[in-house]
This record gives sequence, C-alpha cells and structure tokens, in this order.
Amino acid sequence: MSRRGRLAAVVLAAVLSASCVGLDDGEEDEASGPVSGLGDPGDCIVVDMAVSSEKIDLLTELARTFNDSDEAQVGGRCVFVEPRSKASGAAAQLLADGWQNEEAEGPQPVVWSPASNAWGAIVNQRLDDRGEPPMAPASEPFMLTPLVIAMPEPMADALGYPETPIGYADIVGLSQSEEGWAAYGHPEWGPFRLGKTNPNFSTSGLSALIAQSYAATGTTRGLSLEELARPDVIAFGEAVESGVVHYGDITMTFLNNWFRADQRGTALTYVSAVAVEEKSLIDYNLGNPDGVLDPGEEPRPPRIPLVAVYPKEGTLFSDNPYIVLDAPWVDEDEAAGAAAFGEFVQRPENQQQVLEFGFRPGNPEVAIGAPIVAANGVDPAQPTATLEVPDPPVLVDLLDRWGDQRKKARVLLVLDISGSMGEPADGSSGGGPTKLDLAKEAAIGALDDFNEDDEVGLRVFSTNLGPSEEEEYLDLVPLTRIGDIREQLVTRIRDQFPTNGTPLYTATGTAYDAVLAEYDPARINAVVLLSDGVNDDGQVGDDQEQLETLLATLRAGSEGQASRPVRVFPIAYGEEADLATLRRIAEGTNAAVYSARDPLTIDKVFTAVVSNF
Amino acid sequence: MLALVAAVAMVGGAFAVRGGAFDGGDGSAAGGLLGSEPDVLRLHCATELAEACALLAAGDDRIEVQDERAGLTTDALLSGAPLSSDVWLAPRPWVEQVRELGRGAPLGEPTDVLARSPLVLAAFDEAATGCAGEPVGWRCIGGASGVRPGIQPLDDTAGLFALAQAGAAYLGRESYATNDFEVEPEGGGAPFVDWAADLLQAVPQAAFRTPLAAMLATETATFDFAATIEAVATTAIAGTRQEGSLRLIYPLPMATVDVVAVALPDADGDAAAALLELLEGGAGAGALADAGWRVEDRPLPPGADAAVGLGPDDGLPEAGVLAALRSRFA
Repeated sequence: MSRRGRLAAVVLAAVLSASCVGLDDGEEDEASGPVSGLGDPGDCIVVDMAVSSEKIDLLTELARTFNDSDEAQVGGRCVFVEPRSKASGAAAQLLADGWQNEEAEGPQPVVWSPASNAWGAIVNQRLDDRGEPPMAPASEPFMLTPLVIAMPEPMADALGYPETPIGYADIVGLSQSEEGWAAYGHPEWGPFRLGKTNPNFSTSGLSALIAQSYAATGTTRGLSLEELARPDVIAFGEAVESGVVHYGDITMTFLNNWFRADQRGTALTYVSAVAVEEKSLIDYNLGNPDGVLDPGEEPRPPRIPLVAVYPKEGTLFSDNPYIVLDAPWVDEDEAAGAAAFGEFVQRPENQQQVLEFGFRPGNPEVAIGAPIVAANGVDPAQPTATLEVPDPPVLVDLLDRWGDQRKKARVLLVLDISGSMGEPADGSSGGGPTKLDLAKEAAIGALDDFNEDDEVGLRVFSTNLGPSEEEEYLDLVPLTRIGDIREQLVTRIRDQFPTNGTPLYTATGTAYDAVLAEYDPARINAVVLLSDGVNDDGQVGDDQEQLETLLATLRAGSEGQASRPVRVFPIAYGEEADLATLRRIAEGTNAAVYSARDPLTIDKVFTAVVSNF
Repeated sequence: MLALVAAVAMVGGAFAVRGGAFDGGDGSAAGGLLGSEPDVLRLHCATELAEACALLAAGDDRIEVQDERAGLTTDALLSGAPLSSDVWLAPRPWVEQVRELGRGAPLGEPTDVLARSPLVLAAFDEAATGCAGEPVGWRCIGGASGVRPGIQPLDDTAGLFALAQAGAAYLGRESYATNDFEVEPEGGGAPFVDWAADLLQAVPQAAFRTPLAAMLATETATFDFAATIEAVATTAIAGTRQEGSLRLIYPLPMATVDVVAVALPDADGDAAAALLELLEGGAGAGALADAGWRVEDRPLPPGADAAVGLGPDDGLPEAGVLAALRSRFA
C-alpha cells in the first residue's frame, strides 16, 4: 500500500500522546463499542455518528439531551443518537473504502461530522476515481473555528503583531533566516521553529497545507494542479516544511509539550509557532491544553499565553459540517432521525453550548462572546479573509506532493527483543503469533510510510547480545537513506527472535546519543523505541539513578536556544510495558508516547508514530 | 419581460369574488365553490418561497409542500417531466420561461402577482458605504478588483436575477437582448459576456447554503456582498448577531422578484383550484407577508426600506434572455 494510502487507513484508537490525549485535533478515538453514559438504545432507531475528536464531548452531551427529549421521534418510533469519536482523515478513508470492518472501526455511521468539509470532498473524489457515486453531500456548517498560527505572546510582540500583519511568507523568511530570533533582538530564543501536524491525519495540518499553498501562489481561491507543479510553489512549500520541528497526528501533542515547557520556563525554545484551531488556542490559554479536564485536574493558565495570528493571506475555517451520508447502509428512518438531530443542534440554546466549548456558533442567532474574547488571545473580528477549499483533485495532489516536500527525517528504530516478546500476542488464546511476530510485521509495514529520502537505521536491544554475549544492543543497519536499504531492513527485522532481559534505560540513552552524535539540522532527528517491559538489566540497585540520569540528559538536550533536539517516540507495547516511564522519556524530549497495550493494534500504532516524520 | 405588465395587481378583482369562500384569515377553506373537497393539496415551492409555503401549510394540514430551486423545476417542466404537485409557487419569470419555451404539457394560466420583493445586496457597514468611491452597484462591483461578490448558483432565483440585474447595470438599460451580450456597450468597455464571466469568476466558493448565510456566520471573511432578495434577507438577518450591522443596498436599476402561482400539468384539478384560491386569498397573502414579501394592502415587512418604492414592472429582461443568461453562464 502507498504511503498515503497506508497513513490514511489507520485508526488511531490506541494512540496516546504524552499527556494521554489522542487524535485528529482533539482527544483519542473510541474506535468501537458503546459510548459511555448514553445507555441502551432499546428498540429505537439508532443514528450512529462518526465525529471528529475535538467535538465528541459536545456532541455526546447534545445527544444525551436529545435522546431524552420528546423530539427524538420519527414516525412514532424513538430515535437514539450515538456519537463516536473518529479522526477525520481516518474516517474519510474508511468511508471511501465502504467502512468494511465494523467490529474494529465501530458501526457504519449515518451521520459524519468531520472537522472540515474538505474531508467530504476527498471522500467523494476517491469514490469518483473508482466510478462510484458521491457519499458526502455538501452540508451546512453547524459550528466553526478558524485555523490560526499560535505564537507565544512575546514572540508575536517582537514581530509587531497585530499592527504588523503576519503571514506564511513571513514564516518562510523567519524559518530560513540564519539569524533566527536574533534578528528581532532575541538571540536567546534561537532559531524560528514551526510546528505542523501531518495533513493526512489532522484537519489543522490539511488546512495549513492549503493555506501555505495559496500563500505560495499569491491567490486566495481556485488553487490548481498547474500551480502546484510550479517550481516556485514547490520551493515555497519546501521552505515552510524546512522549519518544522516534527509533525504528528494531532495538534495536542504540540500544545501539551508547549504547556509542559511553559511550566519549566522553556516555552520560547520548544517551538515558535504552531498551526492550530482557534478553539485549541483558547483551551491552552485557559490552562487546559488538551481541551479535556481529567478528574482532579484544575485549569491553570500558562505563564506565557499564546496569541492567535490570523494569517494576512487569509485562512480556512474548520467548518464542522453535519453530513447525513448518502450511503447504501443508511435507511430512510435513520436519515429522518439524523435530520431531526441536525435541527436540534442548530437551535440557539444548543448553539450556546457550542460557544461554551470555544467554537463559533453556526447559527447566527447566537452572539459570539466568551470564551472567544481578546483576553484569551483571540480576535472575534478576525479572520477577514478566508481561503477557498480547493477542488478535490487538487486536494489529493496536494497531499501527494506534501509527501515529497515535507521535512525529511533521520530515525533510528530501536526494537525490544527481550524474552517476553516471545509471549503470545493474544494472551487469551495461548497460540498464534507472538508479540515479536506482530511487532516485526508492523515495523516492516511502517517502512513504507517513510519517504524514500528519509534516513532510517535499525537497532535491537536485550541483554547478553553479540558474540561475547555482553552487549545490550546491536546495530543491525546503520542510518542510511531508506530508498537504498529497504530490503535489508526488512530482512534484518524478520531475522529477530526473543532473547533475554530488557535494558530499557541503557538502550534509550545509547540510541539517543547515537542519533545526537550525527545530528542533522536539516532533518527531524528521532528515535522510535518499542518496548514491552520495565527496565531489567540484571542490576536492580541502580535503576532509579540510571533513570534520573537518562531523563536529565534528555531534558538538557531538548532545552535552550542552541538545542539539537532528538525526539524519542516510545511505543509502550503490551500490558506489561512501562508506560509511565516511557511517557517521561517522551516528555523529556518534547515528543509523544504511543500505547499499544493490545498487541493486535501495533500495526496502526506504528503507522501513527511514523506520522511524526 | 412581458414588458410593462400592468402594475402589480396584487390581488385581482376576480379574487374578490372567490375570496368570499374563505375566512380570509386562517387559511382554512370554508368550502362552497369547489366541486369536491380534496384531501391533499400538493404545493411546489421555489426555494426562496419555502418559508411562506411552510407558513401556509402550518395553517392547513391538507397542504404538502415540496421545495426546489426554481431553475431545477423549470428544467423538469421544460423537458416534459411530470411533477407530483398541483400548484407551483414561483417568481413569474420562471413560469414565463416554461410557458414560452416548454414542449411538455402546458401550464395553466398564472395568477396575478401575489407578492413582490426587490433584489438587494447585503453588506456590512464598511462595504455598504461605498464601492471605490462610487455608489454601490453591480457595475462598480464587477469592475473592482479584489471585491468578493456572493452570487448564488444560476439555478436559484437570487442568482440568475442578480446576474440579469448586473447586466442591466453594465449595459445601461433594463431591456436588453442576447444580441447585446457580445458587443461593446455604449460608453465603451468589454463586451458583457467577458465582464459577466469575470464577475462570476470572482465569486468565492463557500460551504454555506448561500452567501448571505456565510456572511451571517463569518461576517466578511468570505464575501463582501451577498446578492439576495429583500424578503429572504430581512427574514434571515432578523434576530441574528449581525442585525444592526448588515445593511441592505438596493442596486439600480431596481429589479423585483414578482411571485405568481400556476397549476401544474399533472395537477388534480380540484386540488389545484383549492390551492390557487388559498394562495390568492387572505391565507396566501398572510403567509407571504409574514415571510417578508411585500403584499398589497399589507404592512411593509420588518427590515424593508420604506423609502424604496417598487417600479411598475420587475425590471428584468424577457424570459428568453434569462434562459440565455443561465445557459451561457451556469
């Protein structure tokens, strides 16, 4: 499967970022299973909804109110609306493929509410490419939030914003300037660092990609295939991407990392600007960077607030359409039930709830007010210019070209081959493939997600390795352009078998050092570390000291204006994995931890990890 | 079109006789003049009249309403396709197109004009105060670079009629023919076809149902002006967060949407007669007025500019010219 196809096919259900949130531009997916708290639908007409993750809480609340009301009726039968979180990009691919696997992906939806209408256009285009009829009719937005460039307030001030408008062209100039922030009197902030999400997964990433392409052409509408092929447009795209610190599937990874850096006083050297939705920026400034308040968590505003920069070239709204799918599995009763709920969410009292969640109400009867106010870093009078969503063939071409233009990566894959990896992956069955079997296949599959020009290396770790049986890791393939060594990587991964202990801390530290030693500023430098257990190197007594030393090293390398960041993206594999420690390792390098507690999800998780590159 | 059709006889004299059969207020038929009492009255409504039709149906549970863009209904009727409705309530130029150009079963005789509403441009204060130093109008909007006009698809009344009005403004006269499309206008400038193509090319795409809906939700982010109908605009704007800042401009030359009703070819005769009586009676007038349309002897709708009087005719070119505009630019 192609890189794009594979990326888009993932379900990110098991993914956790460093602070336990997940997908799209919000929280994690619930791929299947009941929605907590909504109860049993009984004999009602069930209206299944696939909803982008950042609004699942809102729509669950609205569904609960609707389901309990007298209005949940169609033809004398009750209607039961059941929203489930599904990342927009993943849902788009599932719909284009007919939403085949309900057990894994959740029920086929009657209503789809992605973050942007652009995803509907992509679905219809992919269906059209196969000669199939469209499934996602154009739909009226029911709430909106514009894409903004989030910048720490002192940085926006240094650039003279808002008196001096800022756009993508300025960002290109900043990211390519050798002086970096020194040109604005702040050498202590280092180079200009940009955060962007992967457009195959994230609506913010897709919108940012569209916006920068318009900026490259100097237009605001009608982006064409011919324009995308122009050398100057390609060069502009590459220039924007060159300033990226890393990608990722969700903006929350950046916002959580930023928030943690803020608490440590290093917010200004982690990243200079991130393309996010206005709603997310409000959440951040209110002290809730992931938009979800966990039990016991209090919102605490950051020391340095973010400012929403509305790009001078214009921007796009995440317009949150309410799409009643024209799909073969949707019957008349379900469509009627969906229409009833669609009217319900547009009511002023429910649109007021939309506003409370930080979105701009689609119903103009509801006035825009708090929290969309200047005190939260946003400007309700902006944006004054929007960019047109390109035609579907242009969108697809844009995604294809991004795969070539994105910043290249330099990634060391570090696999745990300890004895426990030989345990059955499906603990209940006792037979079948082992954890290592599944991990190897997932790692091999993930190789297709890299760009041919990415550099990838392979290292394995356990105890008593090597001819002398004294090594704790083995380098099997050095960091090399993957286009030249793909088969070698496949072969070496396939050769692995379970061995001995789990020297997790040593493996992490030495892998980090190895990548740092040959740090390439033109690339995303990273370690992908898969482990299924706690540190076990045979010497329990020094474990704590080892860990503290490791974390101190990782943090020191990631902070400061002159840092050479090497991101460590751990995968906590299986139920025995040390998720808490792996999270600290990820946080130490401003990266994200991914959880594959169920080994059967490792394929999807690996693909999500590679979305960072 | 139908040049100088007599000034809106909003409610004809003949109606006065039939009007006696109704209670004149709530829309319920009192019987008496009809041969039988149909159980179902199927009303086909142009989209911009949907609210009026819904209000009418709310007062009479026999009425079933189907809304459709008038251009699509016109296409169906021109091709002879049957419509499962008894009466079509639509702006008169569409009805005239079918009557003049259709090859299918003929439409009935349309009613007199039941209601009217002028074409308007909705704009926020800043844009509404001027257009490159000139009074706001189509000629100025079409010629200005960077202005983002909101024009609905030409299947919609508001879209096609706005383009026709823009043509009149550009060519400098209300009455024009397809021959005028290709020639340089008096006073110089590009031929109308080129000017109009540029105008439509400047219309941004948006995910909203209409440009006005986009302006209500996102202010000036997408459009500077929304071409619409006074009745639609006043109803849509009332009670929103944009009320008070979104203004209506009445571009010259004045053009109006004049509404008529007509029995459809496959209509049930009794049902069509009953519906026409309702529409021509107090119930129809009330529903139309409550939906923001200007109806004779009814108060001016809230939000309508009392200083703006309507002309004796609709100010639009003939049906054939409208059809040509749609064919050329849709």
